[in-house]
Amino acid sequence: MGEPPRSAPGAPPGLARRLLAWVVPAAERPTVLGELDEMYRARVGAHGAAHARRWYWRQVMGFVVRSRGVRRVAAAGGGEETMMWLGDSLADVRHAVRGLRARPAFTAVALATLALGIGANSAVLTLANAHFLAELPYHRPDDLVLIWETGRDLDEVTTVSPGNYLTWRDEAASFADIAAFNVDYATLSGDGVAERVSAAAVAPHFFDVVGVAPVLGSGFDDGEIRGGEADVVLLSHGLWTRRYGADPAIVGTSIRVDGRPHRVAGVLPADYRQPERGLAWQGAEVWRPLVLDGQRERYGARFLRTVARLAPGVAVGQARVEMAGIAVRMEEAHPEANRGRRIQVWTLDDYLLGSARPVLWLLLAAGAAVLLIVCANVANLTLARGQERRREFAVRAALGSGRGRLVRQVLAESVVLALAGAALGALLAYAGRDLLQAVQSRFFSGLVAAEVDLAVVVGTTALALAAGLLFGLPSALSASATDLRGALVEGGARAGRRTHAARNLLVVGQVALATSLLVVSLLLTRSFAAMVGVPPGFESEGVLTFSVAPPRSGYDGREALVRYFRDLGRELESVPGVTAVSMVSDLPFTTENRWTSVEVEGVPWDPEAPPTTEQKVVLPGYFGVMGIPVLSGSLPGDGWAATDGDVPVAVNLELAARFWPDRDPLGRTLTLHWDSVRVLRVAAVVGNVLDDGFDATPDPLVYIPWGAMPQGRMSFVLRTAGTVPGLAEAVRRAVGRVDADVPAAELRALDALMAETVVRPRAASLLGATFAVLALLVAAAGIYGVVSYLVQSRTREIGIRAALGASADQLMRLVLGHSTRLVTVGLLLGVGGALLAGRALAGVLFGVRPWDPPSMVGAAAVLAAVATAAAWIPARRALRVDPREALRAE
Amino acid sequence: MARSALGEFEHQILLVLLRLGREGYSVSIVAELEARTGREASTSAVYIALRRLEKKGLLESRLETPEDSGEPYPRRYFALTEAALEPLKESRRAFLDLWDGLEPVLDD
Repeated sequence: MGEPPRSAPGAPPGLARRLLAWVVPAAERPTVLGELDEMYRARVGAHGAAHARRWYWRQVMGFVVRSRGVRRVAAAGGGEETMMWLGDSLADVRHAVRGLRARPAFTAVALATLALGIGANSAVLTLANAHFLAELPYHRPDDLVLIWETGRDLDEVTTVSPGNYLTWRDEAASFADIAAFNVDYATLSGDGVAERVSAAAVAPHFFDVVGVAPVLGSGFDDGEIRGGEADVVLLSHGLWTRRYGADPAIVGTSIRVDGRPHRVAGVLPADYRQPERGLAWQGAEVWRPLVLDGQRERYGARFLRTVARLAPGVAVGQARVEMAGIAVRMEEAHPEANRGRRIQVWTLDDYLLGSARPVLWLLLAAGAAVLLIVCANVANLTLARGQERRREFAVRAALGSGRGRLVRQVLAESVVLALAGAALGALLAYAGRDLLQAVQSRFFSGLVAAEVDLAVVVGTTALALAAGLLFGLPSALSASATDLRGALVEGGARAGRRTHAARNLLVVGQVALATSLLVVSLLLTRSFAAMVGVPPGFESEGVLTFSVAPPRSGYDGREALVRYFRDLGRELESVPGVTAVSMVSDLPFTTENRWTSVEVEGVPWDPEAPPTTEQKVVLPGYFGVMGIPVLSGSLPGDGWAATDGDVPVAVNLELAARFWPDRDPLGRTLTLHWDSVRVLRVAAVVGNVLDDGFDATPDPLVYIPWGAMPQGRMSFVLRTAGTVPGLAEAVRRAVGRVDADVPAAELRALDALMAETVVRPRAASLLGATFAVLALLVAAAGIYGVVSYLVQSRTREIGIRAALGASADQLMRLVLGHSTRLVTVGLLLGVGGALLAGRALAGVLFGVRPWDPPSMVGAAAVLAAVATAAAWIPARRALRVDPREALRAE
Repeated sequence: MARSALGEFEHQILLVLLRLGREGYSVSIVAELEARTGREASTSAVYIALRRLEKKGLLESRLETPEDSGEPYPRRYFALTEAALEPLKESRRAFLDLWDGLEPVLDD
């Protein structure tokens, strides 16, 4: 034990004595303290002061260690301790409820802010719960991984070739099994309105690997499928309910998929989702078997996704090591296809949910900040109340309430308040559960549902309890520090000052947190604005798009397709409001790009590292409809005719600049080494387009006329004359008039399609702004409260000053000066905090630096303005103080 | 109250109080205890034992501020009740019974 603090000779160590006073029940305090003083003095006389001090500390520590026993024997009446504790607690709660009901205004304000703060947090917890804790809808999902190839010398993953997939399946020992799948669309017709739905083609053993069994019927039978019975489908639970009335007899019957009859093998569980990041594909509604017969030697075409289950006892790290080795062997065995390509093994969890996590961490942090601000606010309110209640506490202490008892009572009130706030907050979250689920499936993932479940309730309650203790603590300490005589006699100016300092500190904290949140929210908003502000290279406004996929069964061959597309084009042009029509194989912003290697005129051909370009199939009218500038040349003809010789194509500026810098690209050739060798001759150069989304850079792109590379699945682009009511329906009907069995899919505005690619940044920006506004409001309420209190407690001073001739300006400055100092300190701390937070944000931001000055200055300005307003309203009261009233008041 | 055996410390305190008569309060009790046992007594342990004995009905206490003490605080004086004599006799008898015939062990 260290040397006790210095104190007056003859008096025991002050700190130890205070500690003793705190431990001993109030009724016993004078006697116990006095008797120990007496013994202390006797010891000083007998053994000297140092010895006595050590002795005194030992005695006090004895009381501290035995404090439970001391309280028990000191309690009147005796009895079982737990019963006493329970009785006390019940009394505390009753007392708390009575106290809260007696002050409805205070209770309402505190409850409202708490409900907001805790409600916002339970909403965030619900989302986080789905992404961090929820179980993916597969058997033992932790053992599932996705295996990807990487791009040549790149880190980004690509889909997998059949040859590589089948080799992995044979060679890799780390996995119990690997199953490939692919995603596309399927058209359902024959029974009711034809519709196009998301679909997946899966290896017959796929559902064994993910460990999901149909709830109705059976899965795919490998033997049957190899035997040629490949026209079978599994239906999603949703599709089965929606389109087939949940009829169990559907199993075994035949439905038309893409124009051909398919036998329904079974129905998958309602919560099953395809393990794919794209939101559309997670919602696949039809599964067909993926048949890879005869594709064993296809190493160059990459179109498969693969799911694997780790073999028992194998960790992901081991699997990664093994696959790295396999990648090297694959590169040696098939250099033309695999040069520079590595293999990446992702846990399902990371791949499917990982991308949402940075945003969720952000939201969790924002939620915590809002809750802290709320706590500070309620603590402030409670402290103000504590001032009013000092006399009550003093009287109770005088009547024998122990300090511990008083502290408990104050805390009981806080906890009752917090739990009530939590209940309200949870109700808020529950009432908004549909909205929350919409946010989840729209902005995050359809794989796991955002549900207000037990984990969320437990988390919210824990938060509420922590919050209750947090905001109750300052008042509890202040109550326990109540000095009997002081409070009763002088009205407690000293303790008042201490409380006032605590309240100032709380306001500074609130302002700092609110500033940080505001800066972060502005950063996110500016980042989002910067992202969608990038010109995409085309005019998206007023363009309507949809896709069609005439089935091969009805449209076999070029002539049938040309007839269909031409009829459809004419039908669409006759729709009122449509001014121009064209089509393209892959719309921009859909990331469904096809890469191909080309031989570039004037560049020596290296088959091991050929130049690559993206390609799209279009009609020549496409550029006009989309507003993509044609910089030189033009595509001849209407694009339907087959070409015998060289194919006239358009290339984008990026391709021209990369392949033929300093030379005129017009008339030069690109040679495609695809199924057959095709020579493409550049007939036009067009502007660059952001094809892979706002945050992408333009890649080389070649536009090939449809006639040279006919295909069935195409997207239509329609330029429309502004917003025409019912246009979408008219377009749908036009498509139906041409062939009722070929529906228009993904009918939407191009703008909407583009917006979908930035849902995450938009979510971060929107939710961040919501939290920032919440924080701002609560912090403003806090400032308002403190200035009100200040005016109230200094009424007398203000009155005297007014009587002595102080002007309105001087009085305002007196009152506002105080809050201005607090807000300034808070602002500085907040900007500092935002700088720290900004470093963590760097990965999420686009086109904005974490220390972006406009965001900092903007946040500070907004906060200063709101703070001034919040302080100004109560400050005006100071001007209304009547000097005579003020002086007479005390 | 159910009869319960005295703890050793309780036994000692009751004996000290018997010696002190009506002058027993914690200061004098601690001093006497230390003088008799030769060990430092913990005031908190004494405090708890006194109040526990009081609850058991073996002691009674009164608050008094003696004029001559020169102290401003009330002292809590303790005195044995009639009920304390029975357990004291009981404890003494048990001790002596246990020691019976063992005294030679102490001779060395």
